[in-house]
Amino acid sequence: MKSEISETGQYLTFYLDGEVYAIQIQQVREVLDLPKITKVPHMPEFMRGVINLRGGVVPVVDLRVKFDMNVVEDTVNTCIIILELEIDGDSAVFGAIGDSVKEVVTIEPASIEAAPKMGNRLNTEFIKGMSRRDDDFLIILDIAKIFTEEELEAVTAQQGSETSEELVEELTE
Amino acid sequence: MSMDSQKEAFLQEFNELLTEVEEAVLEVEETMNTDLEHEAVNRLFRAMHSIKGIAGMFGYDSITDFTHHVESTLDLVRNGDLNTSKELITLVLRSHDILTSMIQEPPQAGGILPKPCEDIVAHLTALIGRKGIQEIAEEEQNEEEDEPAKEIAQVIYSYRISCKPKEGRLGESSSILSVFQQLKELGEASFQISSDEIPPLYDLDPTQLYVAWEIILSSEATYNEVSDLFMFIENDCEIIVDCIDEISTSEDIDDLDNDYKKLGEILVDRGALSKEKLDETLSGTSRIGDLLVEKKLVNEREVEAALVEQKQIRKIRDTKKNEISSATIRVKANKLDSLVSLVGELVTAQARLSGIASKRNDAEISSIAETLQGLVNNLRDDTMSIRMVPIGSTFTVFKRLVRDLSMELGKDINLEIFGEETELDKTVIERLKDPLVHIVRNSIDHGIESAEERVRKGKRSMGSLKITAEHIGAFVQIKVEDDGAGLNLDKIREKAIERNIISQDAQLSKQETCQLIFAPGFSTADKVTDISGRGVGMDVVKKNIEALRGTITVDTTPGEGTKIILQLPLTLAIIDGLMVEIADTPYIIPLSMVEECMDLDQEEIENVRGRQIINLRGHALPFINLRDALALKGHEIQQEQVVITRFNQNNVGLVVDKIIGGHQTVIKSLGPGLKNAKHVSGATILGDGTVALILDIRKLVTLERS
Repeated sequence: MKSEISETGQYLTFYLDGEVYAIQIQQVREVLDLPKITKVPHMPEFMRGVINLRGGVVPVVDLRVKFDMNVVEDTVNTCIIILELEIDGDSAVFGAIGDSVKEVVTIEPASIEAAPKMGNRLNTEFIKGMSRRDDDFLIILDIAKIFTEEELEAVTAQQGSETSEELVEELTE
Repeated sequence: MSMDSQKEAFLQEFNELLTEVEEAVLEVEETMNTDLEHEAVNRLFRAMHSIKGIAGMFGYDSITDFTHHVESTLDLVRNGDLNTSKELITLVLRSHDILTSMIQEPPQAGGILPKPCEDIVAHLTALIGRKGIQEIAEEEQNEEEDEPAKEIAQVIYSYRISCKPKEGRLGESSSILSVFQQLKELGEASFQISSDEIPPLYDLDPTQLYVAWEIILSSEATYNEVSDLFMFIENDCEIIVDCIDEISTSEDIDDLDNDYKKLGEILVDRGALSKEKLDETLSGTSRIGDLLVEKKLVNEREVEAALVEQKQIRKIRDTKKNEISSATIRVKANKLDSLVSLVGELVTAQARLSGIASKRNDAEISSIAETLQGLVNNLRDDTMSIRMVPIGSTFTVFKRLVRDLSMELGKDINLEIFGEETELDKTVIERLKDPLVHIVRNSIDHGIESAEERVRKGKRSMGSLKITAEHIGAFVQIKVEDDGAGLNLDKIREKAIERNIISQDAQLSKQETCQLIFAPGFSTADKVTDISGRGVGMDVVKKNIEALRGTITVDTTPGEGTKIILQLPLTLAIIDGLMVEIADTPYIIPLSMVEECMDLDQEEIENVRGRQIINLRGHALPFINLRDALALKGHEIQQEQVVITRFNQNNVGLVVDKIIGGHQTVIKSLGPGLKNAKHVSGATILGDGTVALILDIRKLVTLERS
């Protein structure tokens, strides 16, 4: 089965728990060493916190946690891939934490297969396709899907949905 | 200047004048048959006259012709030949509306007036009755030249007041503060405290007051008015009041040079220095103040006090001068925006410098950092204040709105507005206008009953609508209150069930029922009127208010009225914050909410009805341990501290590991994906480049309580 990708494109590849993942290069703004991350209280575990990116505040998602992989200590190779995505019509900047970056590769659409429906460690919704390169399998991520509002808020939604009226009511008691 | 930008400037000015006309007309209506009426009519006349003038310059001849008629009529009123009347006011308001639409169209040659204008002119002529407009216009032409501008000369005096409590009179002179308060109300006052008399610590008697004050006051108040203020403390203090300067607005601007006396002269004047000594010293070359201090002729504080005097009087003269020459300049809003963001960057950079300075322990860097911090603080405050505008400009719309609507609906409504001077960020005010208009329309249309119905219910026949704006902590609260029928809770419930907003058997409190009016697609008016009742209103209002990070609530008493309360943050891009540390992580608490800070004494914690409280000087203070509330790990520390915060009427203590100190906080949004973070309202970047979170105290407290 063929995937929906029909154009030759460049991809940034990176390691995550021993496997190689790829993100379309157009969506990658830069790759950073791991800076100090400020944790935001009561956020889902995969939301590692926020970092200072040249004066702007950027949220950072730990892909290992998001994909339900083993959580390991950060190493010197741990990196943040800064992504610029179009989400729900707005352009937004995110950081994604990977084990280490590998290289930039060019992938022909002919070599991309659709993700098998079964036997995958992560939700196939996040996978655009798979490609073989040398002896490795490349998993091409549909990275924007991971950062949609529903995905990011999936966990938070259950935690109290206090509305402002209740607040004022409470305060004016 | 290109033709286009000229045109743009013209349109802008024209619209401003139209607003001025509208305000003035309503003022005339308000002050009708009072002493103030004359001034209001003058204001209206001047605005109309200016419209005529600038329209002519840009070839809107039909506007010129039309305004000429209106102006002539107003001139009659001004001269007392014609009395103001409801009819006249309505006509002028209608002229205002016509002018508003005329300016949208391309300029037209004069001669033939459009139909609506002619109608008004006809009405005006009828109103004037015996005099034909043409005739008046001619008379006016002749008069215009020889009528001198009548303006009352306004004089501003500056006083030097020295106030020194007599020995042992501390107890009796407790009213000094209130006298100072009154002084401040009189005009611009700078206070200098003289601490010369304070003895070394071992000689200090804590029951004695050793300080004295020197006050420079610039005010329109006369000498007697000022010295009368001190009547009650005369016996306890030595009071000397001197008049040191006087400026009148009637003076020629050119005479108003900015050179108040030289520092040396002030000191001689004040008796701190003799003329001979001054001349002697003046043979030197460096700054007089430093010289005098160096030579020990006067002490440093005296010089400082004299400098304050000099500064204030120069400032008053300056402002007077500025007022006369140019009151305002226009700046594009986006220039302001970029200025604000630059200042934000500067604040962050400055914080870095301060951080490095305190680490290096280098006196030179520290002193630069301190100076810079002071400058940056001032720059920040000034920049922010440029963006702040009084909300009154928005409220003017309501005067007109209420007037028109009450006439249309045959209701008699008295609008009262309080707190027009309350300042809010410009963008917030702009985006607040539509929601407010909607709320006011609703109150008039659905809330306030017709005069007959009100009488039947035993109320005053005139309905009342009250709009209040005030600062409450870091928020601005806007209240719209009417004394109408109030919300019909049963009907709201019925409608909500009918529209599937709630289920048949939903159990709702009164408050919850009220909030249903904000649900999408909700409208209870049986009759859809021209004004409201289409049900597209309140949910949009709520959305708009929430987009401004504000809240909206409604409170009602059936039969007595409805109150709609908006709370909006001041939305400053930069705030003063208090930095605290919890589990080795810095957090920022908005300083505006902080009442006081103290150490947490375990012995002061008491259990009251299963809830822990702190006994704060005999009062129960509920508190929240932020470490628990934020679910932070890390070891407990020995001596915790408490930040006492306040909003509305409640005090709440927040237990933190350590209070670090004040921090200028540039608010950054947390970015997408963190919109649901309940406990934080934003983030800021610290001197070391890391991100600190700004705690949302209001939400935090609410979440903790539930």
